[in-house]
Order: sequence, then structure tokens, then C-alpha cells
Amino acid sequence: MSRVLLVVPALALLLSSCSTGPDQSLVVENIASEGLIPLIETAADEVTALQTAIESGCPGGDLDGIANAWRSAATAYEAVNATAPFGPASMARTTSMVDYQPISPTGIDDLLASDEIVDADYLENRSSSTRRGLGSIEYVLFDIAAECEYAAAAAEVATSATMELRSAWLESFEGAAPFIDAFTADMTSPEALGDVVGAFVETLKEQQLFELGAATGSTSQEANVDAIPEGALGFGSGRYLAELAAIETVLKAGGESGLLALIESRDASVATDIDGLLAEAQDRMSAFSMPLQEVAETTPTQIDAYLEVISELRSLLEADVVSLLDITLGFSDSDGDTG
Amino acid sequence: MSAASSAVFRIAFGLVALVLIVRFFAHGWIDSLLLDPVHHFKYPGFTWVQALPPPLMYALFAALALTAAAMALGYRQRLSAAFFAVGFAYVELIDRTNYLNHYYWIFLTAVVLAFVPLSGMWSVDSRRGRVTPSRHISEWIVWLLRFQVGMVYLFAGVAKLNSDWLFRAEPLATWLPARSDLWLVGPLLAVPATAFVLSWAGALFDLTIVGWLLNKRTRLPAYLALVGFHSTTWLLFPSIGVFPLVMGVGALIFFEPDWPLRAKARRPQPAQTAQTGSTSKVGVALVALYVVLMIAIPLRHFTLPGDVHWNGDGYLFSWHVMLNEKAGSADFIVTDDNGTSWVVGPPGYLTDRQVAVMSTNPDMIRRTAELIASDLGVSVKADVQLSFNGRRSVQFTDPKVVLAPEATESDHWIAPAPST
Repeated sequence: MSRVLLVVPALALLLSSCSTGPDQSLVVENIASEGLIPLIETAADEVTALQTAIESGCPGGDLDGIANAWRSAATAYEAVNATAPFGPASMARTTSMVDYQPISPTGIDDLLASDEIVDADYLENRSSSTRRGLGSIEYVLFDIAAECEYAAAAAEVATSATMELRSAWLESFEGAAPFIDAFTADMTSPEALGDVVGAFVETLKEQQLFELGAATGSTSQEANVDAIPEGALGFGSGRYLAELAAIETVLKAGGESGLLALIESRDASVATDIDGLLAEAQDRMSAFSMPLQEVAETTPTQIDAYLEVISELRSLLEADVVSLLDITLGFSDSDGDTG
Repeated sequence: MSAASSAVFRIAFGLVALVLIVRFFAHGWIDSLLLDPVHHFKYPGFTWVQALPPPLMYALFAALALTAAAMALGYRQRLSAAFFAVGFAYVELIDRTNYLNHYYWIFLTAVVLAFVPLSGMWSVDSRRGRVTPSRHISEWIVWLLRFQVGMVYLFAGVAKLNSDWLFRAEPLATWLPARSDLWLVGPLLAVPATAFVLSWAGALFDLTIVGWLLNKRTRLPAYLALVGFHSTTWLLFPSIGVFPLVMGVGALIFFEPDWPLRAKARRPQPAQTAQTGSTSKVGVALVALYVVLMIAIPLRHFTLPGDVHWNGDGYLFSWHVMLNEKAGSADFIVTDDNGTSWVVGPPGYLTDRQVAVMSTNPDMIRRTAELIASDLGVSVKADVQLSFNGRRSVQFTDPKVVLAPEATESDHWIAPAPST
């Protein structure tokens, strides 16, 4: 009997030692706790800081300081948008409050010229998405004369939405690790991983097919530089860098027990290539020294070269990683006996 | 021959069919799979099949549930089965994306039940006198039902006799590590040897289980092994749905025809001698034709060029159950009349599920190219990368071959299957 008692834990230990790669549940937990949640908290902090900067520095104050705060807020929110368009809050609603693109400059002009009292309540409840958010703040502060009240109202709406997002992830669920519950409620770990990888793929698709590709004409009949969401601050490349950096952050959250390590345990060459392509994409995007719309207009081939890297990265995620992790993107594979 | 086991088969089949339909309601699949998609991928020859308006579609599913229950109860069994077969075939024909092997099996079995009388025993019809109560049934009917269940295993086993399954242990080598967080057995699943052991065991099981079930001495352990096999697949792959249930109850038909009576009496009963009822020549011809078709259809891919596992030619209706792991990334290169080319993704109105299935299927890729050509008034080529059975993704389609609007008849636009 005692031998049996010894054999059971020994066998369990042996099996554990046979395990290759990190535990998937732990990977999901790390994605949430070390990847997504810090990004969401940073976004809430940075958008709040932008509101403070506008309220204290406008009018007539430190516009450069506000511009820096705006860039930080845009970077932080773009990171969330690129990696966590799922979860307990409706990201579509949050984005419509924080950073809807494209904005409507003429719509904002009309609103400013009207007799309406443009406050946070108006922008949140009676205005269209194209007249609020970070894009509208950039427009009213840096494209036209400093419209501080409008900017402050838009910043208040954005702050409120990002705080709601943070609350939804952190506080709506009781328990020791509420954010993980929020992420994985009613999900298996493959489903949760499918959501994360799906977010990456959608972000890269957006860049490749609908924004940068459309700007150069490689994914549209005619080149249209306005497809790149970029305003007076010329922060187009900053947005895309934020997206790539966020993808890298989430991939590597948890280190040896992270998503990239999990992919590596299934096929090291795929993980190496993902890492390499992400680095190459960031290098190429960082090299654009002027506003991205100008790059698209003057040297579209440079952007197309960047998009080749993005296309390869997307293909790796959409085909190889989906296969390696046996996940589905955007739907639940129910009742299936195919394959 | 005792009609008891075939009566149980009828009851079990009706209940499984009922569960299947209830799952469509419970999971919202009537909307997500049939009503929500703007476009449906049709089967060749069935492009005329359209989805009903929502109220009628829900009414149809309610009717399917009722007829499934009617089959179980033995209420107008053949009429109920005929209605179910036609109704369920219609549902399946709406969108090729939704093809599943066990849905096809459910349809076929409903067709069989529309022709063979199984309500002489334990049925409403026999109680009400609509059919003559009978404790006996023609022997060929039991054998037809056994064939119905056995062919799935046999052809699934034959399909496993390929190098990926046997010598690379794929797709299990890809799938099992993804289940490594399962309690207790999880770490074992991450061990490469496990995939090999299970691949060979699975092939051996599928190829031989019918023989073990037919042999009286090995029948019970074989059935227990079958239940264990399907329970394991269900635990490892919960998304397999009702397939384990379908096969688990279906395989009961291999037991002695009077096993339900023996079980009910809890004591041994004398074995009944086989009685062969009279069957018309037309009936014999129909059964023979059915059996020949059921053997020929799954084997047709051997006559087609290329590797069925890679290009999908001959995959449908062949019992290739959980045999391949494919994931694709699809873009389309379009060119207008002025010669300007650009890249577009799959149309936004396709669902995520449709895009995922389409990206691995040549027919659906071509159909998507036709859609884009029609939408944009351009010529279309497909640029699809495919990951196949654990391999790195490779070019699946030739991005230089125009697929639409003019049709390309040759198969050359699909790259050859990877050799290693």
C-alpha cells in the first residue's frame, strides 16, 4: 500500500516533468494580469492626465505640455484598442467616446459655430462619435484656435469612458483575481487565447488593408492618404508603434509563462519569426521621420515595404499560431467533427 | 429476429436527433449559422436553396424537434423520419460552411428510417394499432442498421492510413498539447509520444472495432472500449458536440437483437433464431444501391488527383472525422479594367466562421473570388497561406491565376501538397 502511495506522486511528478511549454491557464492569467490590465490602467491614467493638462494648461498655457499629454493618452489608448477589444465592457462604446476615427472636422466646426452649449453631457449623449474623443481634442487645440472648453469637455468624456473600462475589468467581478474572471468568464483557455490572437490579427488587418494599404493604394483602387488617422500633431506612426508595442507586451507578458513562450513550446521557429517580424516592423515604423500621411504621399513604397512585414506577421498569427494553439478566431467552434 | 434492438435504435436515434435540434436553439445557431450570414456558400447543384425568413426557419426547427420526438415515440415513424430527413437536409444545404460528418450521418439515418419499419415494438403506432404490433423484424434491417453505424468507423479508419496520421501523429501532435491544462492527464498530452500512441490506437480502433463488435465473445469489451474511446474524445475535444453520443448509442445495434428484452427481464432468455422476412425485389435493389453508394462515395477521392487531405477534393461525405488541422490566411488580389491592382480581404459580410472555413477550402476560395469580382467589377486572384497539420504555413493558392470572373477549370491554382 505504501508503495502505491509513493508511486502515485512519483508518476504525477514524472508527468509534470514531461510537460513541454507553459501551462495554458497560467498563460491566460499572465496575459490578463501582466499584459492587458496594466495597459488598461495606463490608458485610464494617461487620459485622466490629459484632462488635467487641458484643464490646467488651456487657455494660454502650456500647449506643448498638452500635446505631450495627448500623445501619451493616444499611445496608451491605442495599445488597449489593439489588444483588448473584448472583455466585460463594450469596447465599441468605449472607443466611440475615447478615440473614434475618423473625426469630422466640418461637424466640429459646425458645432462650434452653433449656439449649443458644448459640455461633456452634450458630447457624450447628444453628439456623434465623429465629434468627440482624442481626435476632436487634437483638432480643436492644434488645427484651429485653441477651443479649450470643447477640448476639456471631450477629455472629460474620454476620461469617464476609460475609467468605466478599468472598473469593468477590475471591480465588476468579485474574487481574488477579478480581471482574470473578466477576461475568461465562461471561456476555456483556448477560447481566451483565440480572443487575444484574434485581436492582434484584426489590428494588423486594419493597418494593412484599411489604413496604410489604402493610403498607398496597395489595398484600394486609389491611394487615399486620409485613410491614415492622423491630425495636426502628425502622430500616425506613434499610433502604429503603440499597437505593435502593445502586441509585443501582451505576447511576452509572463515571460516563460507567456503567450510567446507557449507558441515557442509548440514551434520555436514560429515564435522566433514573430519576435523578429515585430522588431522589424517597429524599426521600420520608427524610421518614418515625418507625418505618416506625408510619407504615404511622397514615398509610398516605404510604407508598402513595412506592410509586407505586417502581412507576413498577420499570416503567421492567422494561420500558424491558430493552428499551433488549436484556436478559432472570432467564433466558437461548436459541435464540430470536421478537420 | 427480435425487433427489440432496432426499436431501441429508433428510440435512441430520435432522442439524439432531438438533442441535436435543441442544441441549435440553445446555442443560437439558427441565427448565427443560418439567418445572420448575408451570404451562404452553396453546394454545387443546390445554389437555389435559400434560407427561410426567420419565423419560418424557427418553425421548421420546431417541426424538426417534433418529428425527432415522434421518431423516438414511434409515432408515424416513417413519415416523421421522412420529414426530418428532408427538413434537416434543407437546413444543411443552406450553407456548406456548416458541414459536419455526424450531421450527414443523422440525415442518412433518417433516410433509412423513412424506408424501414421500426415501429412494430415499443411505439405509439403499435399501441394504437396503426401498425401491426410485432416483436420480430426482418434480419436485413438489423444488418442495414449495423452497416449504417459500421461504415463510419471503417471509412474513418481507412482515412487515417496516411503518412501524416501514422508517421507524424498529426493532427493530434498539434491538438493534444493545446489540452495540456486538463486536470491530471494534461501534462501527458504535451508529450510527443502520446500523440503517436493515440494516433495508432485511434486508427487501429476505427479499423477493427466493427469486427470486435460483430464477434459475440468480444462484443461487450469492445463496446466498453467504444464508450471509453468516445468519452475520451469528448473530454479532449468538447467542441465535438453530439458525435460521441451518436456513435455510442448507435453502436448498441451490434448487440444481440433481443438484448433489450434480456436486460429488461434481468435474466437470460433463449436466443431467438434468425428469421428473414420477405422483402420485395425493389426493396432489395434499393438497399443494395444504398450500400454500394455508401461504399463508393467515401472512396471516390482515390480516383481524384491530388491529396484529399490537402485540397479537399472528395472530402465531403467521406467520414474524414477530425483528420486534419488547417488554418488559412486569405487575401485577394483584384485588378480593374485599367490594370490597377490592389489587395482586399475577404468580404466584410462573411462571418468569421465562414472566413475560417473558406480560407482552407478551394471551392469556397473560388466562390469568394467570384463574390468579390461581382461586388467590385474586377478580376480576382487568391493569395492564401495555409498551415496544414502542424507545418509552417505555405502558399496554398497561386496568386497569379485569375479565379473570377472567368472560371479556371484546372486544379493547378492549388499548390501541390507538402511532401514532408
